[in-house]
Amino acid sequence: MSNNIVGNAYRDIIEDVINSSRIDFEDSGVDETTLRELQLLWQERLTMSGVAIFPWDPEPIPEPEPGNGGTAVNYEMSSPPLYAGGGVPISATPQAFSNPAMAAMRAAQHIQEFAREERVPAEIADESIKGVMKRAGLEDAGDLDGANGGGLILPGGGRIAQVDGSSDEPELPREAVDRLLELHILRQKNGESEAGGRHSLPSNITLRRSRQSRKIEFILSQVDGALDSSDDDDSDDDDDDDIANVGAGGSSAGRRKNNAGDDSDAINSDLDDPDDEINSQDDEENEDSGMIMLCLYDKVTRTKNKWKCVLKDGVVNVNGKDYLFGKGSGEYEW
Amino acid sequence: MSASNVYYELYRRSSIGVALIDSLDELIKDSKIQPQLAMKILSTFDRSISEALTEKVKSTRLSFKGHLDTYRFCDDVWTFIILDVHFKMEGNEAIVADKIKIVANNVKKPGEQ
Repeated sequence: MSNNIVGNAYRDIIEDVINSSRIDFEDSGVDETTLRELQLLWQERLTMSGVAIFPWDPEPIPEPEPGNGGTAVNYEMSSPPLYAGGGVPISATPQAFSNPAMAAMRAAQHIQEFAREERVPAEIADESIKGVMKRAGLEDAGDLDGANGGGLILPGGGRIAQVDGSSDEPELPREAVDRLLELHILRQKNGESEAGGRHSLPSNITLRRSRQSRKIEFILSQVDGALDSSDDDDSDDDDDDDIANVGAGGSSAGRRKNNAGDDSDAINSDLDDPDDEINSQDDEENEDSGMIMLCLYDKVTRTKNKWKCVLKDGVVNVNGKDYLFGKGSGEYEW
Repeated sequence: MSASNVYYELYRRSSIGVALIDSLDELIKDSKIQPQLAMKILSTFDRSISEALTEKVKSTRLSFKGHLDTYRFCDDVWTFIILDVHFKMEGNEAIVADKIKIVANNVKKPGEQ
């Protein structure tokens, strides 16, 4: 069965590429640990794809245990938070990242805080939260506070304690906070492209992508906009002019006046972001043709509606499994 | 002709190629490597997978039958979309799929005789 050879063939390819790239890494002044990290990332992604059984497959299970040899430790130290989950199986991480439930939890929490701050009747806030939860397919809205502990959970797994929900006396300079958020947005964007564009952004951040330039603009609106008094907002707009883009002031002013219900729409609109849809369409196209055969043709002939082709050196992905062939032939009629 | 141009980039779309590209992306976004280095690695990958397929799976055979839905021949690349495909792998293993897309480059690379 040609699926059996895939694991070893891929291992050989990976080792060949890694070994051949060592000199390129040296020439670029990049440390050898990064090369090793590349190999591990590559192997883990293949394992996650489940296209075959790989020789390294048993390894990832004991790997998260501490003190499991130098390379594993090095890798864990230098790895991004994606793999920092300790005993979490690797296959589960992308879901955790793209989990709409997480986004909904954050969103709901902000609605709660917003409601508290603006004296919005609790029923309206609850209604909004329910809406958010429903969209995320999450029914249990009850343990919100317990789950989030009143903090802002960041996509990278980090957490910013939001003690009183207002930034009257910010603990960090505003610019530092902005940078931190920006970093996490970027990180989440990375995750988004990997996970097929299913992310929603944190509720307090509106991300806009201009289509022509595809430049990413960040508008940080909620942290001060929704929770603060208006005079602070004005100064906020001035302060952030260098970071937020032109037009952000107007937009955040608009958002400030939103009630809790609209806010939940705004949050979820990130899921419906047309740009995301374009991305996911691309992904779908790729996924759709995930049933794909990449090969070389030796001969393609046609007689009336009967086609025959002689193929070589192919990689086939069928029904989620990879197959390799040296010689292939196909017959089909149009 | 420089060595990096000799091999097709076709296989970058395979599972192993996509996994490599995603991993490189991650390293670039973490500022651990430069994009130029990633391009070099991809070229190395083009060579490596081409050689592996030519040398190591040489004798593995696959045949299939199906209904041709779409065909296209452009820039020396054949693209077929075949429906109701029946594959026969090595060892008489049979696999059926609703649809498969075939992207095939010429065995003879440009400039070769």
